[in-house]
Amino acid sequence: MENLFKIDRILVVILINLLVIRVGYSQTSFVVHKVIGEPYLQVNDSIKSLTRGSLIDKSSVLVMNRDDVVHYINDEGELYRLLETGSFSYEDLQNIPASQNNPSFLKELISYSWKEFTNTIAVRNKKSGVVYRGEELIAKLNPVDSAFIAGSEIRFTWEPKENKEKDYYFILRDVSKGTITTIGTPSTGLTLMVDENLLMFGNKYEWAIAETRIPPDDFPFSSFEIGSKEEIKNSMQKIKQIYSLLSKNGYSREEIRNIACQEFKICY
Amino acid sequence: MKNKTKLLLRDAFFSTILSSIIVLLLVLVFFNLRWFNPIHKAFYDFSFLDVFYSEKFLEPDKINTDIVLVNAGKDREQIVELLDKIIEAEPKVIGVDIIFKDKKKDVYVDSVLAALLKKDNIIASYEIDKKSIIPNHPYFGNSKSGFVNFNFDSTTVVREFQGYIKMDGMERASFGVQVSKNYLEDKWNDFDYDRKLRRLQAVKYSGKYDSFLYLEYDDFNAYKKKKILKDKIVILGYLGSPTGSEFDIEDKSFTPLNKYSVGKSVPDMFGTTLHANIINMLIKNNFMVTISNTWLVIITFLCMYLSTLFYMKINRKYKISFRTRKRTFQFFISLFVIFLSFWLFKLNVVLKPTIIIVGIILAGSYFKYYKHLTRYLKSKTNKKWKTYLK
Repeated sequence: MENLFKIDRILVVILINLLVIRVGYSQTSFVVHKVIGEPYLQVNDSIKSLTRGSLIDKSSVLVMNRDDVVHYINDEGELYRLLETGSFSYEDLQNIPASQNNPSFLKELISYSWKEFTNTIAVRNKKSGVVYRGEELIAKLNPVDSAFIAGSEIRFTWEPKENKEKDYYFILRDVSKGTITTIGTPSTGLTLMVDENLLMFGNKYEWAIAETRIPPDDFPFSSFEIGSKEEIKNSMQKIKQIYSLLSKNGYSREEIRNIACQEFKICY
Repeated sequence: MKNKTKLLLRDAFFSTILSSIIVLLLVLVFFNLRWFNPIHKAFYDFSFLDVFYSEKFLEPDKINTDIVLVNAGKDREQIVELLDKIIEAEPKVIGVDIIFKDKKKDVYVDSVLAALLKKDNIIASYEIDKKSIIPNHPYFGNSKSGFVNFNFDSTTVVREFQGYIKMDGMERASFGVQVSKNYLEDKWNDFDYDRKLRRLQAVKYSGKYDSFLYLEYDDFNAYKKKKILKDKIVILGYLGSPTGSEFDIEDKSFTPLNKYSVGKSVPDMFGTTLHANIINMLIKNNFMVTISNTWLVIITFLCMYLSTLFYMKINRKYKISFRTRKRTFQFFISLFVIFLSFWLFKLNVVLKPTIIIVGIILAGSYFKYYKHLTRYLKSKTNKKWKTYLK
């Protein structure tokens, strides 16, 4: 019986040691390897810019805007790629699977040989004598990217372009259905109603302003989400807080509405 | 063993020797007539194994965390500022892959640079140009340094590197060797590198600049230490403007990672990244084993002999379909040899497949000469020369 206790004690000691070693060697931070766009880190109440070599630790929250991309690595050098929009805690980042480049050497080899025999590799050698000058983008003013719409009407506005004679094309993409609506207009604004037809409560959309009816595939869109009636009701509390805070500081109703949309991304 | 089999083995052996002599003569002609030979120029410096890297058969999933590359840019003031911040972050070794050949008019910047370069953990660089050395200006002191040349042979593509070189009776160490030696400290002797690196060693590439952690001027915050540099190897050098630019070819070399294995292309890798690849293989003791030329000749002879056995056998058995069978065999055996060499390369063994493939293909054409030779000998000497070939 005494021996049994001894064995138990030894096991407990081993387990504690293993736990200590595990904690000692566990991952404590990620290192940023590449940054595209302007993502940033929220550490407690402060905001820090994200650059190559920045550390993302347990006290940080990574905030990603639309079109932002962050590559980060762990202690082992495993690479993670984040392309989504939103806020990500350290635990969220840990749950993203590390990227793997080569599932099978043989597969790569056979695929290369096939491309060689079918001469598809030659395609990449095509060269043309030209430089690309992309379309000058029209700056979108309202609603901001990744906005939450807490109302039944949305006012889209964008910056005017000098010497513009032809129409602007407002392009609306329904994310869930994948449908696209294009509206031509000579003005720099458009108001749409949430009529449960073109725009519906509780749905996600993307929008863009282009100078051609069919813009290229990589044309930048901004996103917005129209809250469901329940979500809008809940967001009213937050809007009230913003309103009372800013009105005390002398902001007008219209200014507060603008700040809530631009800074807090709640448009009403 | 049957008499017929004995004859086949003997004939194949003699035929292989004859083919080998012809191949040798052809190779000699090929190399000596290079001024007039466009084929030689097209295939000069070509290696099948480059495809392994250029087609990214084994792109590493992991980023190297022991080495951090810092793009120095072109401005000396910026270099000084970067070096100061790097030293502040306490890395274990700092390799400065920049030669400050002359002093500048700005005395203040140069004096700060000279003071920084005297730090114990800094490895400076110099270049060996023919028989002379191009070092830093003497004003910048005599810190530890290494030569930045990769190798001294005539090849343009950097596949191998030289760790040590004897010059004017003095043994000099390369930049990569100096950095790794200072990083590994006592471990250096455990790996027996001083003996190993006197021979040319194949470079085990881990990737381009973005396979390492890399930073540029804008990534350094004015008031904060860069924590990630602590106890690491930092290499300060030129990585293009902007970093990694394909169109900036200053201090770039051709490597097997170039997406064009043959034909005209631009150099693809900055010297700093190449040093990082070499240092990475040294600190991880991740070497490639190169099959020596003697073994390559033996393997080629054996492959030629076995192929000749096959050619002779099908030549006797299939008079009409012989050529079709021969070509099919040559196609598949060439593929097999290339695949095998890629597989071995993956296992860190360098087996150059070109000469083996050339040998196998030419053996299929030249055994006919052996056939004619035996007929000629028969008719001229009136001796009964038994042969397997009809």
